[in-house]
Amino acid sequence: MSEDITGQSRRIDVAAAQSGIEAESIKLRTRDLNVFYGSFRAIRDITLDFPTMQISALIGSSGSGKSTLLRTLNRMHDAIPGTSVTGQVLLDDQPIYGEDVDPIMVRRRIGMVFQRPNPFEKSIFDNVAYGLRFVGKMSRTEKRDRVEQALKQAGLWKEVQDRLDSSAFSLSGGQQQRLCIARAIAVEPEVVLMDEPTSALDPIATQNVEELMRELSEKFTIIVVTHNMQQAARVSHTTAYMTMDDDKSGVVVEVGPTGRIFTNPKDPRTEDYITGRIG
Amino acid sequence: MALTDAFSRSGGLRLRQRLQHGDLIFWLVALFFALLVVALLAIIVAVTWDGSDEARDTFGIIGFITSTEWNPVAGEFGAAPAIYGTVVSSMIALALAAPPAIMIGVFLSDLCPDRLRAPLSLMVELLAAIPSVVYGMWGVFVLIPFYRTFIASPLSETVGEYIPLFAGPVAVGRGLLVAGMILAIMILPTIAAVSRDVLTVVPTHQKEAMLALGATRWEVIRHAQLPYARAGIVGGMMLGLGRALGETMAALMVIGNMPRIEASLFQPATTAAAQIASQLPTTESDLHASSLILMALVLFLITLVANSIARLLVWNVSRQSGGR
Ligand SMILES: Nc1ncnc2c1ncn2[C@@H]1O[C@H](COP(=O)(O)OP(=O)(O)OP(=O)(O)O)[C@@H](O)[C@H]1O
Ligand SMILES: [Mg+2]
Repeated sequence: MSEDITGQSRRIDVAAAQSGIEAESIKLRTRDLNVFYGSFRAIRDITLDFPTMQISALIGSSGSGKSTLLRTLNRMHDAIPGTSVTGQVLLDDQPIYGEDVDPIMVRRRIGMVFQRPNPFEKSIFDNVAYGLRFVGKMSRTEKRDRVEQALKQAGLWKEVQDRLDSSAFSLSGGQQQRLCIARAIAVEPEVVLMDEPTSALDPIATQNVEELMRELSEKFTIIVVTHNMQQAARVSHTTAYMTMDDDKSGVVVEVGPTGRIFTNPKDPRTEDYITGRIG
Repeated sequence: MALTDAFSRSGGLRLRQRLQHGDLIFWLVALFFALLVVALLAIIVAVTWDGSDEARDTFGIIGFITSTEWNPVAGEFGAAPAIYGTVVSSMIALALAAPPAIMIGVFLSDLCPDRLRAPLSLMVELLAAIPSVVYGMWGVFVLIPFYRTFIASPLSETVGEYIPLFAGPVAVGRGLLVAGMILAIMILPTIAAVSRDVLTVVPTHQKEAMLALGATRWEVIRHAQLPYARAGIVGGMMLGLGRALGETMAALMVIGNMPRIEASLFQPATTAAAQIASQLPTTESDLHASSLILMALVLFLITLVANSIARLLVWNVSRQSGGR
């Protein structure tokens, strides 16, 4: 697998150079990544770069393996029996699927926000503070500060500052999703993965979350899966389009700066998808 | 007028429709069986109430359950030793069974390799299918000798000198503690199976949310799954407690059948169910029989109270975790 690395990355760099992006630092890379559910290959030979402190969008039709790819990036599949991964995922050029790598440490550096808001059955404060116990010992005031800061970053502080002790379920769906974002960023990960974070939200809440993503990208590297192409166009810096190949495996058709993908797609399949002819 | 007309017509139509589709008949049949259960309960209570007439007249209910004397020949009947033995042996059983049973539930639902899960689950369930007389026999031939040599004797000879709870003499070994141990083994599969079932249905999104925060597998179990499944696990424990309270045969065979209240867990005792089962066939007098029936009523009350507490607990816990 590793012998392909140079060839593949050169291709990507060339693509990046052609599209006018300066060579920037890459937080997370995949190299010839394949994921199997039993014997079914859900994604095939995915080689992608995710630039530091940028928003990368993954778009594509249902079943093309976007969620599978995203979950592979922080080893969420480890818990699912029968799943196997070949190829590599590199975080700061270190393989996260190495023999001696602890998946727990990977997940502490790479957080995740899910499609449906999934707060714990606890108070608003406890939800955000929850991950901090896995980070290490800290004093009460330190904890309070971290929670406040995370809620502020998630744009939720003003709405909840006088009801921190009430249940997370007393929040609206959009607020709950921002709470989940606050929970994910409170532990200060380096990368935040988001799987269709706004698909359960109304347009206003969606707009809030999108603004939030843009602000967060100044501190975190964000990778977002979305079915909403306007959303990808609005928030992301780079976009990768995935599709289901003939054998039902997901493959990357095209990747590049978001502006170019949406205005001047090179692959006819990408063009069909973004102009709404399929998917 | 037109309105009432239409109303009655539609009412008639609905009745006819319901009859046609068998709805009404089904409803009546179901109602009949539901009422049958209630009637059965009422009959049991009435019969035990009626049969215990003489004992209630002689001792009064309060006098009966507080008196510690049980002497059929002298005509003295007090239920306190049996109640004490029933409650204490069941509590011992619950305390001994719950921790390992919950652990087994966790193992079966989360940690067990796929290939082992089905056979192991089956084996746990088979434990629950073993007749209690077999447990009793196993207790007499295997558990008691082991318990006597390795637990009761050494303990009574050392700490037993100072702590009344473990005081000797041990004699053959029959007593409260070993009865609690047998009961623990008997209720373990129930608690384990219920724990496994409620842990299995904890939503994936809760587990994944915690995993994604960097929690270890143990932390996910501890902080996401156990709290979520708590209500169900408590319910399973109460099911087990109910079984222990009413268990007759196994307790009868190992507890020693002495209607006494002693501080030491190593001393023989009795339970309500064991006392009824062993003495009802050979009663000394009508008052004796009547007292045993009254004891049945008391046992029924104890299980009722235990079940109500269980319901209350489950309801409270589920309201807390669900509504908060
Ligand atoms: N746990 C699993 N076990 C077996 N197959 C799975 C599993 N999860 C996903 N798949 C399969 O892998 C393929 C890719 O699924 P994935 O969820 O990654 O698609 P997706 O692009 O996220 O789709 P959507 O846009 O609908 O969310 C699908 O064919 C799906 O059926
Ligand atoms: Mg998906």
